[in-house]
Amino acid sequence: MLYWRLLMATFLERYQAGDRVAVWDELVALGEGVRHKLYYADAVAVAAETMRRARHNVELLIQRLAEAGYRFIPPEDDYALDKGYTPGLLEKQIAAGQAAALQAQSEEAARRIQERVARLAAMIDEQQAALAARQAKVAEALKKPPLENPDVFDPPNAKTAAWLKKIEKAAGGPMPISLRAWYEQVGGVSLNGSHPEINPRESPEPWYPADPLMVTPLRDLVEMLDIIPGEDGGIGLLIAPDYLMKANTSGSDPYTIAVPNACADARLAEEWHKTTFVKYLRIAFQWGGFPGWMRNKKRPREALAKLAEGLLPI
Amino acid sequence: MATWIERYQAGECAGIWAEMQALGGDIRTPAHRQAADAVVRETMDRARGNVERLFEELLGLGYRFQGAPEPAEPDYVLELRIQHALDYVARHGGRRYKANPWSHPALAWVEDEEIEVPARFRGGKPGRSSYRPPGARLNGALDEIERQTGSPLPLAVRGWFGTVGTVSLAGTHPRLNPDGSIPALRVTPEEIDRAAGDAAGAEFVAAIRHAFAWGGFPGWADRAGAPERELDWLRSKLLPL
Repeated sequence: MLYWRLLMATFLERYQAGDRVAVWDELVALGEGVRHKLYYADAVAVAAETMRRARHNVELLIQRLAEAGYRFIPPEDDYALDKGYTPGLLEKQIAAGQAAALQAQSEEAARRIQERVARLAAMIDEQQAALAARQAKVAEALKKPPLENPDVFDPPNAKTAAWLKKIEKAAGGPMPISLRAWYEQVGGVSLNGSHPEINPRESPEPWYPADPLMVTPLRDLVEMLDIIPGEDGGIGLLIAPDYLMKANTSGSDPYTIAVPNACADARLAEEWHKTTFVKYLRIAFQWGGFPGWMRNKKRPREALAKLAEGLLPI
Repeated sequence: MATWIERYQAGECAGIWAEMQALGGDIRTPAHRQAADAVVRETMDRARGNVERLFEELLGLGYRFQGAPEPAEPDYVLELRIQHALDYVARHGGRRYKANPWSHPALAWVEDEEIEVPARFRGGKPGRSSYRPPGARLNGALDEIERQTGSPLPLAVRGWFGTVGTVSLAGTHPRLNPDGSIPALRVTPEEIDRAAGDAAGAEFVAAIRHAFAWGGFPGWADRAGAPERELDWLRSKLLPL
């Protein structure tokens, strides 16, 4: 009896009743048919409900991480700050250049060498300025609660609808319903950072990075439209760096979603679970936002369980 | 006194077919044949329209048509031939053929040679095993059946294959046919009831009418939990027979 009642109910009613995985599987099985008049509004409602839950989970995770002392600073920033600016090759080249200028046999040769020295000095200034800017950015980020830091959480705003339209126009067709709903409900998210237990900068061997949940803010996707050419009129949206790049290690291709895609959900290409966006989110939440631990037996079970506890199922 | 075709067009569809059937083999006599042919033509024109609408609507609903069984080993030569032609159309076909590269002359051989397109190229769209238009080969197969049974096929059966063709709605869809097990409209020469006799073929028409009444999925008639929303949608697009 229950089965027949479920068959008659709308996708949203079934989703809300707990039939979440089957509903998404069926929406995906409809292919582009999900945009049919009979299904579209229902599918959009399911996606919105899914992503409302996802937003709740994201906000809860960020709060919990902040309470646990998580440092929401990407490893590449920390690495640069640790390293600081150390005088090195450029300074040596400048000194050598100055000596050469003094010994130059013609005014013209001395002028050329001094120009080169000036360019090297400008490069040092640039590097020092970049480091100072990075230091200021980190200092600023550390002052803000993570939920108010757009590098951590960049919720939808008044421009979201226009940005989505712009991306779909550039792609020549729609984004998958799931991804659109994510940007309408959640926005940009980055759990990248460090914590001695949850996301250690030095991981035990074998090294499988924690692969923190990241979804590129919409404003960044719009900026990238100009530099990422589409194939056959389509484009690949860069959803996140790959798990190695997130850990500031030389990595592979980023996690991407190809658009246009008129289906309910789409494959998150290059992501190692080889699955769709919604299923990836499900896995990420199951692992407290750090699905990389799935591959590491020496994982911080208790800390991950605390993070994942009570998250809404999607 | 209205003719059969006038009464049929006025909505007396089942009644007319019953009257024609009652005549048995006499339906083929000169006194009735012309009037009967007019009804057969009208019925099968409607059936063809219905079948076309069903294919169109089912594709829109995301129905995935089942193709012919795939060979154990892919036919690499065929696949390369198709792929090269598709690549050519993608490069040189322009916008006109973007939505349907199969209509480009570079792929005309697929139809000419009656190629069953492998599933990976069809993307769930109907292939040759889902629909074959009427043609000389089909007529030849029907002639052979008549030769073997020693009697003509019912007018309706001949009319169907002469106007509509071979049809199979087998496939999958999360609601209409979740695991592909719901019997769907399927009319092929192999499945003709050879003992149907030489009459008008009202039983054949009744079976088709029943299938259309269930949106092409008569298997739902004796099962609970039919996907009424989808079936109503499909029914609303079909003409009565």
